[in-house]
Amino acid sequence: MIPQERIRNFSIIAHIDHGKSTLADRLIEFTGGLSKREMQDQVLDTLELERERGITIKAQSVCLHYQALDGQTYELNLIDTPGHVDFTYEVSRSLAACEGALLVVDAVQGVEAQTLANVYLALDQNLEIVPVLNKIDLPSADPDRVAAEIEAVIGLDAHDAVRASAKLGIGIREVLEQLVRRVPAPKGDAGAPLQALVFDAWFDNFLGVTVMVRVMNGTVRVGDEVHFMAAQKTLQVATLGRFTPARKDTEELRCGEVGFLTAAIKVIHDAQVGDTITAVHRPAEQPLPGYHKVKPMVFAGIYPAEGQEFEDLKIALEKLALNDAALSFEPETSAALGFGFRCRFLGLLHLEIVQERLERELGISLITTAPTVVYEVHLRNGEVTYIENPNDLPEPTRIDYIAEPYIKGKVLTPAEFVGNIMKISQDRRGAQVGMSYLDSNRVMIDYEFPLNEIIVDFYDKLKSGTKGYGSFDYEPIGFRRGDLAKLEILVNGEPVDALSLIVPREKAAARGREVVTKLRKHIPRQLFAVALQAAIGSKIIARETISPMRKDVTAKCYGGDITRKRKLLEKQKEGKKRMKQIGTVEVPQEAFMAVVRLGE
Amino acid sequence: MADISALYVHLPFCHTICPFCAFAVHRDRPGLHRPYLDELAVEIARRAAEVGGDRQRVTSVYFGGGTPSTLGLPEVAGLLETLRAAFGLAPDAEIAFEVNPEDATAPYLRGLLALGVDRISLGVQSLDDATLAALGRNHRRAESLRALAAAREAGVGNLNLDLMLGAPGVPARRLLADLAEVLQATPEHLSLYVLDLEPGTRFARDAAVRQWSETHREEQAEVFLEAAARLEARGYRHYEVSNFCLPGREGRQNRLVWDGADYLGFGVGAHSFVAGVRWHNVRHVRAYGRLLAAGELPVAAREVLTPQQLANERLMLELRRDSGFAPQPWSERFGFGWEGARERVARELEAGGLLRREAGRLVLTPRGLLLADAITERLMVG
Repeated sequence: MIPQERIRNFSIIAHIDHGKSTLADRLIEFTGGLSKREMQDQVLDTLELERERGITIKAQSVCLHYQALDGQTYELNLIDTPGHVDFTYEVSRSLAACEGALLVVDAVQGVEAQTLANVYLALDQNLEIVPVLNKIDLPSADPDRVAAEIEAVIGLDAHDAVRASAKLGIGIREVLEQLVRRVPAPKGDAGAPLQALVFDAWFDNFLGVTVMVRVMNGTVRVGDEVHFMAAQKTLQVATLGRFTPARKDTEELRCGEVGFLTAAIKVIHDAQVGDTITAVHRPAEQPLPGYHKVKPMVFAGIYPAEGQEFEDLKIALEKLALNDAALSFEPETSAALGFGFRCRFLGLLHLEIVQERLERELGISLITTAPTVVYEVHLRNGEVTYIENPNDLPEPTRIDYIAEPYIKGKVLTPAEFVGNIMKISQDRRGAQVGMSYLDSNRVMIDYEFPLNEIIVDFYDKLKSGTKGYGSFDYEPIGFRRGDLAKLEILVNGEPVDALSLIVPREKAAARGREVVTKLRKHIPRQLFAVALQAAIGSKIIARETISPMRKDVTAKCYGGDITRKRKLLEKQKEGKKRMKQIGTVEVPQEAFMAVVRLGE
Repeated sequence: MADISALYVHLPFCHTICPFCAFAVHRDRPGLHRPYLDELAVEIARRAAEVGGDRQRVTSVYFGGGTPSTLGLPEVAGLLETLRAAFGLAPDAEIAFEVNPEDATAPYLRGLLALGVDRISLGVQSLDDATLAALGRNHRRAESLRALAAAREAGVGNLNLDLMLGAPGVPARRLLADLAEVLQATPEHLSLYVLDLEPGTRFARDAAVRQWSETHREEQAEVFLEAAARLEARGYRHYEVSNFCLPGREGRQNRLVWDGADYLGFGVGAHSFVAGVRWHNVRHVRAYGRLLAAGELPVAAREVLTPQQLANERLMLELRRDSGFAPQPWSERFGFGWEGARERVARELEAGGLLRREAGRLVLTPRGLLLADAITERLMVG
């Protein structure tokens, strides 16, 4: 049994591609958690999709035993954090379970915006930060410059930062030694009432809902009656244990320790990240600070491309939601798209991940409506409502004004691209609120944006505007009043609900033109002319016409042509099943997709 | 046992291979005819023995290609003899024969008529040298004109001319000049084809030709409608998408095939349709010979049509004709509903001027005929 003073709880903070997963693998390997043969490459990224994207969505945490140079054995709990801006809250809860963090910075690339955001989160929680300069094996590595950058940007002393190459296994012992020496042991009172912080939860086919906890005070034992304070559920602890990374069950988790817990938790929504578990027989007076309910920021309708796949989609969404407390959805009907679901996401990446998983697991294609944010609608009668779907907007005459969510964003870029960033931000209604040089070449610009402006392809724009060197991070800062209106798209005079958007009035005409132009490009000619219009209220602000097809007949129809012709027509007919019928117009799903991807 | 109404004989030999042609063709060379004709005779006899049936029911024989006029008159005589011996022909059977302009001399045509051929189809395609060159044809304006004169001189009383619209690099309107000129000879029948880029042809592989075809559809449609109007003004019936005739002069072979009658095709690549089963022969002359020599029938593929496929073919074939499509009998015969979605589409087409109703039948207008494929697809079962 390892005493509390020899426990070290830590996270790894790193930008995508800076080597977090590789370093984690090396730490596991070095401490003997897994032999080299057992090592699956990058153990911590469990999901296939995460591996492909090189990011970690679901945190995985491991408990390692390390024999330090001082002769003592330490318990090191590596608490993995999701690696994306959409999951800031989850990251903050994971960090709250730690006393320290390894800051891994690519010795070629230097500090990135996302790293910064997480470092600030860690500093806010008074974590001890241990800088690691990774990838020193690369010929273009410049650890001295990057160390200076860390000092300048973050204000950390980086002169003795570990110089490592996780890939080649250089500097791994030094990392472990610094962890043991510099990160403080967990505080907390073993004799106090139980307070265990839930920092992760998932659905396991064998164990049911499993939560990862950090025991902040007291001890939890198998069989204890425990109370989830935010979820207000009382349950009996069924199993406790650790991942080394192999699962090892235990009878108790003591003050300062990290491990998993199962109880008869039915749905993942009862196992909320940030919740506090306490003991029923001797409850804590207060929950741990920092909990809040997961707040979806982005909304979109998801529809099966073919109507009959609705049930399959429903089952798949339910399955995903088992493991994703942040995902919620409810059935929705669209005149244009049929039966589908309105889904709520933490952010655009979350949306993309859900969409990809659905398509991959179901093998069906989906139509996703243009993502939107939640709008705060102030009515003339003083009421305030929140709408997640542009079609739910009340009659214009009832609306006093509409407010939209804003974010504070931080862009890090090489100086030569500042002009591009300013242009992109201006196009997106961004207001620059600060700018500073991190060194002679790198610039940090602070912006305020309407969230709506960054949920679609902002990140792609930023990346292409900075040749891939720019990075971006944001946090919400509340609602602000805007001059907003509902833009409707009409096909042959019929409004297409799935294409409605809420847009700033000043941009309505441009946006409307963009939408109808895209539609014209993606809707094939029909038997009759098709009018495409963009309207605000009864005012048409853009119009395009698709002229009718003139000739679509094969000239010859001899005996030998009949089969071939019939098959061709059968194939065409089959292809049309993937199209959506709007009035008499057949609209391919690419047309909807194209509208979602505005601005390309 | 089946009653065969029509026979088709495929002669694959050509002086040159046209870049738009997707039929089974073979460059003509001395010594090729004899073995092929012998093999044809074997296939005809073998099939005749297999199907049996009423020997007087065959009312149409069609010699197509390739270029049937690569055959000498004695070879044609032998073939006809074989067919008559195997099937017998109705006394009033129509015997049609395709002739390329360069072969169409008065003596040759007279010879065909003497053998019982009573319909000549001339592959004129155009009277414009630039068009003929663009289409890779072996003949020029002079040969086309000579062929027309020879046909009348020989006393051909039922003459079809093929004209083509859409030759790459040639203004579509050129067709109207051709039309005016050939109409002076008052052919009984005209086939007016818009160039289709059929898979496997040289044109289909040529990006420039594809580009041309894609960008000139509108213009071709305009010219086709103009040509159709002029032909109707001259008393021609636009009786199928690409076919026009003077009263009573429809091609009988086409009519039987489109009516769904049972027919047999002989020779490479030939198609047959008997009792709801369609098959086609191998396309290569050598493979054809080998199979027959091995005592087999030279069939490459065979399909038994499902009721849905039969229903869709009926719809497709009837919509292409001026007699139109009758929903009621179709619905009863195949068991697919008409009222509801299909009828809604029909009304929409009617309102848009693509279709009109005549005594319960749906008949495509000239504009509708140009969209027959898209319209069929909208209405078909699937």
